[in-house]
Amino acid sequence: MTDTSLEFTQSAALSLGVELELQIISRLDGDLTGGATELLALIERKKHRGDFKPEMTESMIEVSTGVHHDATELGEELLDVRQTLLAAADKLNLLISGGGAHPFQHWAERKIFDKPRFHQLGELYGYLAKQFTVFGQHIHVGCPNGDEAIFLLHGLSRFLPHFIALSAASPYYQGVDTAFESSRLNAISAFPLSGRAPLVKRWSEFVSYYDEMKSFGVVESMKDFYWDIRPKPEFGTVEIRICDTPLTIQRATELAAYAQTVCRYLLVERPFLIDESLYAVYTFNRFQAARFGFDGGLIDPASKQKALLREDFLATLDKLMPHAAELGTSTHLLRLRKIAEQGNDTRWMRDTYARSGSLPDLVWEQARLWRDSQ
Amino acid sequence: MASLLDLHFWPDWPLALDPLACFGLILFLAIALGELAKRLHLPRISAYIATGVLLSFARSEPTLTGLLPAAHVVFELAFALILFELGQRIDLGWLRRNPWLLASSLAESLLAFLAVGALMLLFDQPLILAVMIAALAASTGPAVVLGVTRDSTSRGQVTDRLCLLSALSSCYGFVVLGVAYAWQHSETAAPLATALLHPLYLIAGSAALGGLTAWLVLRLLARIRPGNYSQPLAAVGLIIIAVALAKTLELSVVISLLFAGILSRSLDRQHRLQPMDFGLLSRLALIVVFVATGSLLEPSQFVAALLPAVGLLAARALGKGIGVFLFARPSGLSLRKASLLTIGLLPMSGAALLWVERTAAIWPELGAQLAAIVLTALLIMEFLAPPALQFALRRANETGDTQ
Repeated sequence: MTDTSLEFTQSAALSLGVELELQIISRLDGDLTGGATELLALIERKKHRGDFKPEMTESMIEVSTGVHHDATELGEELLDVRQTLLAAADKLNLLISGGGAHPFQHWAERKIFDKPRFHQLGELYGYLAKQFTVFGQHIHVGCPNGDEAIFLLHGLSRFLPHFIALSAASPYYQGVDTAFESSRLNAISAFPLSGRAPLVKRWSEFVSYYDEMKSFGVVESMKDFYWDIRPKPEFGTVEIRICDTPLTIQRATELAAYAQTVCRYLLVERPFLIDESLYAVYTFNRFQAARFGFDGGLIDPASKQKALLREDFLATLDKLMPHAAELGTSTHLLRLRKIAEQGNDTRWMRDTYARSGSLPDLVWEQARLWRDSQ
Repeated sequence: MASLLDLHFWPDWPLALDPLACFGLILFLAIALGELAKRLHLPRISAYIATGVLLSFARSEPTLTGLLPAAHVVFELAFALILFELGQRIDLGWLRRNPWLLASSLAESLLAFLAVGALMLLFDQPLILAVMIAALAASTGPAVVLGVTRDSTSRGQVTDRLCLLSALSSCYGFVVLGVAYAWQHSETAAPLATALLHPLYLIAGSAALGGLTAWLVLRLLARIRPGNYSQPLAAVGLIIIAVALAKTLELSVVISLLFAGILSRSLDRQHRLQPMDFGLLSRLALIVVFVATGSLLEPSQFVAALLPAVGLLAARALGKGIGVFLFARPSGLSLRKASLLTIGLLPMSGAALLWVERTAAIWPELGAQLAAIVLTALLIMEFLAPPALQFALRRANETGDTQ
């Protein structure tokens, strides 16, 4: 019980970092295709900003930024990352696209990336490992200590539905309209260690929970928890993992800005108590947001009132504005308001598909949007 | 009694085997051997070729000769379908985005051409023959590439590059042969103008026919709901007409259909037709093409031509290998995958059969010399190349689940 490796690395409060899992697509037919190995090899030849890593299957690539204090600067790094990635992809005749799931890929055709950990997972989870070909954005927010990370983890769970509706970009899965705004979340829910973290309030309690799970052999490392929000002690961050990868770099930046602002609001105002009531409505709210987006219902755990997610989000934005002004995230938040009013990426995808009636064409349009968005 | 029992409906004995039944039996044999091959972890097309070779031993059987005219038509259509499909998998824009690929393609074809040509001169072959053999050796067989990548449901860099390089090398090979033909014509005293105009007519005319076909395919199919079976069937209809036109106008079926495939893809801005899937029809086409190829391989001069043929294959592999490795790094391919790509480029083109046939029809002596070496090399490669190609795609981790 003593040899815990969960030392919480200290990091600057409210610093930001982003990881994006992206789709590697064939120009031939718009389906996912292998290419991660070649892309990574090409990218590593030159100096570049950002970090590029393989993911579970050959058709995925993960990009991540360095640590930023300012969301706009983070957005600029993401633009560079996009540039680097597209230059390499062009050479290999590949397209890169955002979106939480590929609209029509068949999971059985996916190839596990050749790396021991991925093969182990493939062995353990069987078809789930390949079906896990879904693409998320992870947002890291820095915390000076573990207790603060645990506080933010629980506090952020109140706003989880906002992140779901704002980022939703996976209405189509395996060739059908799932009726969900984010079908990706259903793929994640299949894993035994998905969902929410336990309600512990201090870092030390979390460490004993972790040690216990490890002694049972339930997990080998923090990586085995697929929670919606989890602490990342090596980085000294709390990590929001609920978002679909959006269709554009700009949306990814705005989501990071929103996370940063919510965290500041939580830390400064401590607006509600952390207790089990937060989680009593958690799965209901999560489902509503994934299924209906901003038109879903949301039960406020504090007031026990039910409202439309859209109304709750807009009310939250008003509360966040002073903090946004402090952080310099106001313009990002204003753009998010527009999404709540005019439609998210899922809406864009459904509209685009309705025009052409072809899912491959939708994928091309997604790739074009990823490349050209400003 | 006899008048009471009139058996006039009873067929004559012994039963005459209908050519159609022959076709069915051959098809069944090819499929059975194909499944056997799959169990032995070999590509199915190896079994189709073997079926063809078995068939060639029964060549003089009258029922089979009766099948020949029909077989010829079916073979041509099947080959056309395969070329169109391969064309659809070619993205010429890639050459613009990655010019090193064009360099690599030119290098592998040119080096293979030069290496084989030099070797043939070393073997004291006349210059025209050396050029023809080298041109046939320089290209990579598009049907084998499509057959094996289809059979193993491959996707990825090696697969994509293989399709591109084999289509391009087929085009180069065709152009060089066209010029060689013109040259030979002028030596055998056709007027020079005819000699020069003929290849030009072949190339430009075939390309134009391909473009027209592509345009018609897109026009017609835009009116059919995507995903509907009528889409690929309508395309097949147009392909058949294009083949007929190519023959009437004495153009090249190879270039026309390859071009039609390439253009129908690159002009398809709305991505209406993709992915065009000929499904079972395409499988049938592969069987027909490879059984036919196998049956035409004539190993009669096998022993005499073995040495130059093996030399040809070695020189060719060397040339292609150097071309690929030279530009592997700048074009973004690891050296490991470059070696797999080189293995993948080994299949020789079955189109050589058609060229040999055509040459023999015009210049019987030259045709016989060409046949000896080229057909021996082709015979060896038809057996070695498909398993090698499948091996390369497996090692590149690009094959789909085993079927």
